[in-house]
Amino acid sequence: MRFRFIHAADLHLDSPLLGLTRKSENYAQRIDDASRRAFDNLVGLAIEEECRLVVIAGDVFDGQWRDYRTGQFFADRMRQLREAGIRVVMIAGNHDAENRFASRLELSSNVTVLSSKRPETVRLDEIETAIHGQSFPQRDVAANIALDYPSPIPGLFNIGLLHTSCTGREGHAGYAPCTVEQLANHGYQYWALGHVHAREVVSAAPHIVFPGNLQGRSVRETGAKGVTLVTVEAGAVTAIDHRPLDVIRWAVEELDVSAIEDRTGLLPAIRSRIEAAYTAADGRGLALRLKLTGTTPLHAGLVTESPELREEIETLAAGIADGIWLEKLEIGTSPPALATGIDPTIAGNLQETIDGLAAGEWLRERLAPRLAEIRTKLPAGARADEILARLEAEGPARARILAQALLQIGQR
Amino acid sequence: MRFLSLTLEKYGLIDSRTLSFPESPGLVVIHGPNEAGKSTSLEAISDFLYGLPANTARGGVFGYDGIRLSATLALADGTSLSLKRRKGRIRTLTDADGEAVDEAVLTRILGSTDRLRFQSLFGLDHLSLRSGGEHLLAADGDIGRLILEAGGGLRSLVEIIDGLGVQASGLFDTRKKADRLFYIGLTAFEAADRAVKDGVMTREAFEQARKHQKDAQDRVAELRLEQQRLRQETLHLERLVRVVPSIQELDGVAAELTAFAGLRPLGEDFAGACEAALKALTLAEEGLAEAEARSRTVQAKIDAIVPPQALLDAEAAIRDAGEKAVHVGKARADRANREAELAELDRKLEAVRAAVGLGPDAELAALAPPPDAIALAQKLASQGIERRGKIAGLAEERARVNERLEAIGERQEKRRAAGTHEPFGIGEADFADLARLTASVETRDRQAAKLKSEIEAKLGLQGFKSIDELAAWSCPGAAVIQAEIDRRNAIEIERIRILDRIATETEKHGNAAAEILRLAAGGEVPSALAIGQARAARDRIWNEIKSRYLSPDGAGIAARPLPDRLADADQKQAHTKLADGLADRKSSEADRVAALDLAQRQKSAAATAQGALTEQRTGLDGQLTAAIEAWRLAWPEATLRVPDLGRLKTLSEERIALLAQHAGWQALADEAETQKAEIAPRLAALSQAEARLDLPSTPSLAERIAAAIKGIKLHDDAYADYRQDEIALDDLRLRTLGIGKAQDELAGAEQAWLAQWEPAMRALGLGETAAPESANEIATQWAAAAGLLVSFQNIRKRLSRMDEDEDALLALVRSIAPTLDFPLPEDAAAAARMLMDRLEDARKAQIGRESLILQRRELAAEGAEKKRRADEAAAAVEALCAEGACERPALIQLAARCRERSAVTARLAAIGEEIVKLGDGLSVERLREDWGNRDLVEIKAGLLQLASEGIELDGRIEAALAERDNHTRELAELSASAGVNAAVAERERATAEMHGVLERYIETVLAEDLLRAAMDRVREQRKDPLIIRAGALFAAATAGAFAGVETDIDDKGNPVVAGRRANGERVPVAIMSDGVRDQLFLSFRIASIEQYCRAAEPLPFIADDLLVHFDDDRGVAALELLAELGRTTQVLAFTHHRHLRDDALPLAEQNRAAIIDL
Repeated sequence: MRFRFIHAADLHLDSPLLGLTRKSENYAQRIDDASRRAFDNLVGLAIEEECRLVVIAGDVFDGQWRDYRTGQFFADRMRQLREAGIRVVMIAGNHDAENRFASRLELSSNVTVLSSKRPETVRLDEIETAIHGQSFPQRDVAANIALDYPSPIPGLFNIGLLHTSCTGREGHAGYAPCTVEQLANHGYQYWALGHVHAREVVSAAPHIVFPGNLQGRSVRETGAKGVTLVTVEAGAVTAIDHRPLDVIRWAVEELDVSAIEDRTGLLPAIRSRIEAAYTAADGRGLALRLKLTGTTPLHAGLVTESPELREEIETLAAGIADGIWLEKLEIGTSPPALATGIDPTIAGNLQETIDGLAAGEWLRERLAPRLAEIRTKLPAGARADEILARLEAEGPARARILAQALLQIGQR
Repeated sequence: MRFLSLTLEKYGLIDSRTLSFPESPGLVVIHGPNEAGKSTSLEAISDFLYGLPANTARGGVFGYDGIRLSATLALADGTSLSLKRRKGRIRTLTDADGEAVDEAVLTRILGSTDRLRFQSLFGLDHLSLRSGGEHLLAADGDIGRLILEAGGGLRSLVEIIDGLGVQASGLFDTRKKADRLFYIGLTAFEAADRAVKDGVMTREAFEQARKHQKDAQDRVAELRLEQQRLRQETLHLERLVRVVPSIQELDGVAAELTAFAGLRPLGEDFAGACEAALKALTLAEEGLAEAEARSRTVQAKIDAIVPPQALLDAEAAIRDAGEKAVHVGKARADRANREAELAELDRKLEAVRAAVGLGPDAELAALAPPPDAIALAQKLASQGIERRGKIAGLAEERARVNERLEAIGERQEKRRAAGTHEPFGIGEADFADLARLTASVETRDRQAAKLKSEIEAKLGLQGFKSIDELAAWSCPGAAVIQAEIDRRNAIEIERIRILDRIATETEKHGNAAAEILRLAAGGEVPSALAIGQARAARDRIWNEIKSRYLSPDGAGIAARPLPDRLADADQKQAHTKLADGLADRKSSEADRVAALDLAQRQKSAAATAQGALTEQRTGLDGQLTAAIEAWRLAWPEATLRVPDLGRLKTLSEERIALLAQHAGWQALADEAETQKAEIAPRLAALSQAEARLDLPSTPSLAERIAAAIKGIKLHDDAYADYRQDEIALDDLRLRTLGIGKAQDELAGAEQAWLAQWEPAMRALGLGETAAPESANEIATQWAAAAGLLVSFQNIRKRLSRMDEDEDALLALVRSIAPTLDFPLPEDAAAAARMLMDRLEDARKAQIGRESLILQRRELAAEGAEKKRRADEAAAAVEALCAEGACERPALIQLAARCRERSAVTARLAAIGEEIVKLGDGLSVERLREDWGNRDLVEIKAGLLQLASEGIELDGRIEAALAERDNHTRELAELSASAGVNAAVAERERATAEMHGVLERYIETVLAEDLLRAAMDRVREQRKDPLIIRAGALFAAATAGAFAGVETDIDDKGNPVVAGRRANGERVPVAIMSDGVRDQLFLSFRIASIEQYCRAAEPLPFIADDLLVHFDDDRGVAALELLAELGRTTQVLAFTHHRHLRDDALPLAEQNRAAIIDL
């Protein structure tokens, strides 16, 4: 018996892409349905590869998202899979459990959503496969639910479907914890995990896999996003392939500008780097964070003219391709180090004074009331906590860098 | 740090150059004209210190590989460094031998002062100075700005900081403003958020809408069923209404068919065949008659047409005449133009005739010379005219040259007589500086004499007879004496300290002893020792008693007498009492015990210390004695003359100064002698010049030199004129020779020309003496006439051909005319045109007749065919008569009866078909059954009832459909994406933009806070010392016009500076003149540099043409300031203005400045 199935997780349908500013008039059209188009790619892949099964390890929807059209969209694509004779077995993840409509969708007959009350098994005798799993009954599942998963059914290919943080992953809530050893010893041939958005083959014998999410949603989710295409022969995994299905690619590019002597050399180097990133994105839209690093005499100019440079880079990117967004330009350069020692010039005095003020609480005391002002003006839903935390963490250092750069500029 | 030398190799335009700077003074004025490499040297200093930039332009001439900058630096700690710099990326610094040197050697000196800071603080040019002064005005003396600017050109920082506030205000503020970037983002966010909220479809809303839609759909289906039933019923009744009349009609027609029972059965098509055969016969007969009539008409037309044969026979000749007539017509139209051209040409040739003297009727063509002759005559005439002009010009020039030769010759004779035909031999340069040097020698002589008398007076005071005796006197140096003094003082100080300590210890000893006495006075002290001793005594006595009482034999007790035993008991009791008493008192007198113990230890320690200190004092006494003796032995002569070391040190210092003074005197005297030797030959030359110029004697050397220079200059001017005229004479003589040669050449050429001229004139038909100008005119006219004559002949030929054409046409017309039967016009062309018209008519008539003959032939064939058809139709009619058994006249009635019977049968079939059709395909029998012979009116009434019910049902269905459509639309609207995702994307975009704005806002406002606070702090730190020092410098720079600067607070509460005049008047910056403001700025800059140099290794200050716009007084004052700064650090003042260099001379004479000429 030979068949293929797709292992996907964390679709987060209709979850918006964060941090992008408008670049062009068709901005919204390009990005607003990125997660849907990525899911369409999944459906297309399943049909094209003649898959018999699609397993989804949770978080099809976002927790707070209420638009029922998202559910309709998902149900519609499930019907497409039914017409192609493809079964779908899925579990609800923490976000689905939180969602108001996810559990009440009317899905086509090819779809099985495993119970949230206890572990459940679905037998697909036509492909000699059993899928075991349990949906999240609520958002917070602190118990190791995998312990209660049924024993493997002898003679069948056993897949464990689990939404988990496993042994813990940075940036992900620690839900349904378990250990790799526990899963490996359970006796299943394949553990289809979800929840962690970065793709990871946790174990190869047996296969324990996080496929990563389907479409990156912010600069924290860079690289190719998609699903794992699994080939099973005679009850054993013979191949697993990661298939990128995302339509917008997130990337962080660091460019060391130490060797660049003047501004005329800078843009060609940036262009080259963006072109390389765009080529790596293989024709997809590219949301790029560009970080300039290195020790350079250009530092002060880069810091003080960062908005203008950003515009130049955006123009340059528009010349490369239509679908490139500069998510952020980070100036992480540093000026050439001065010799240590006393600098009795006024500039030296100012520099030393600025460093002294920035090092202590002086600057934070001035930051606090400004943050309080900002907090009153930021509306709910504008991710106020995130930006305020960032301003608090990075504001003083950035202000010091800007002040030093302006001091440098002021000497010219 | 100061530069002692700077060498540039292959740098800029300079191949190699070394600048050497003196060790002192600090101010060095480097003078060089523009392009002397001043700016290059200036830049080289920065390049040497900080390395050559990668994109330097200084390698443009010699390339980059050869660039070397070398310098010798003297550092503040007294050491020196020789380094060399090349261009490159790494290890560009080497020592003098080319060994690589770590860059840290320089960076240790430069500290954290980078190139930019070095240039902005230690470099100043007049533009920076002026703009600094102007900014001072703009800032109205703001101290903060002044400190920034004077301290290193941070002027733009203030503008930058002000700009930060503006930037931040554009980004965010708690007050909403439409164009504030945060609120632009916020507005977009709120709009998008509303769109999201409005657009979101909840599951409940969706389910509700879907239920409504389904209910409406069910209702529509129900009504549709009812409608269908009604329709079926209606259709049934409608069918009956349609078919019942037809069934009744069918029954009627069936009854009609019985009337044809006796008619013979014939074929169904018999009636049709009869009618067709009769109709064909009639048509055939009519066609035959019509063909015969047309044939007759055509024959009549043929007979009526007769074409004119004579014209047709002459067709070729007539067409030829027609063509000729066309040509003749065109020629007649053109003739007038040609004749006008002839008249014009004739008019032009009139000029030629006049030129060569011919009458108006003369035939020019025959008389025209050949073209070669005309061209030769023109060429020779041109040469002749040109040459004669040259000959005349040369003659005039020769006259002018002769006049100039005579005039110059006279002048030169006069100069030879005056002796100015030779140079004077002694130049102005021989006397340059002579007066100053002579004065300098005299000054030095006076200074030397004065110095010598001072030295002799000081020698006398010191008791030396001569400077040699002083020099020979063996005396230690001041430092050695001071060291000895210090050594002895150290011993003495230590001795005094020891004596003090001995006294202290003695006092401590006495105090401790007194304390012991005081404590002992209170009885035995219950110290641990005393208690121990008392207890030991008690135990000893008790042991003795015990041994006696407890002896084994008991003899001891028995033998001991009672008093002894009582004494033993008393003794034991007394000792026991003593020991116990002491022990009992131990705690109650613990303080006294401790004090006694302390006093005893103090006493002991003081005694020990006294002993040790006494030993030390003795040792120090010995050391002092030994030192004095050693000194005496080392410097016996000095000790003998001055035993006291203090006086000896003073004398030693004075001796060194006196010897140096004497050396100075010696140098001065030697220099004066050297200068005298140098100027002696120049004075001799002056006397010689005076003698030659016969100048009157005057006592003043300066006047003598001025007179001599003036005389020599007059002589040399005259000599210069003499030399110039000699050269002019040579040139004029050469020119005379040239003119003669040219005249000879022209004469020869004239002869050769004359030989060609005569035959050329003959060929032209002129006399040989004809002038070249007139001959040239005639030749030119002949050249023009040649072309005119050719045109003249061509036109004439053309007119002749026209006449020939006219004649030929007339002859042709006349040859045709006799064959015709009508008259022709007289004019041949008109006759030809008439012939052409008549010929055309004849051709048309001929063609028409031939066409009619052809038509007649076709009509004959058609008549025959129609006859055949008429015969066939008659035969067919006869055959039908035979079938119907009747004659031809009865055949028509038989056919009509047959047709009537067929019509009735056909109607029966048609009605049957109609009934089936109207009855929706049901058979007639089925329909008769459905009808059941009901009344049609009754059926129609039932239909009306059903229609009424249908209308009412339609209304209900429409309402239900509308409701269903509404619900379907609602559901579709809910399900459509409705741009919610786009609104979400827009909301996130606005969020990202707000975040970006806030990041920039926080960064900007905090940076502004930092910079302002830093500026305030630096201002407060630096303000007071800077203002005090700058005030002193300002007073010096303004030569006392200002007493200094003071601080004040302006209207806005900012601290500002103002000048204070010597009379106490306060002068705000705003009303200072430009120059004063510049000086104020310069004072602050110098004060800043002094501050720097006090804190770190001093770096050289480089002034680039700083004082170029200063007037003399201010320039001198500014140089004073720079010389003042030169006390602190090296000042390199580059200038290309000589007056500034000269202004520095007095400073140089005071050894406060040095001057280097590039």
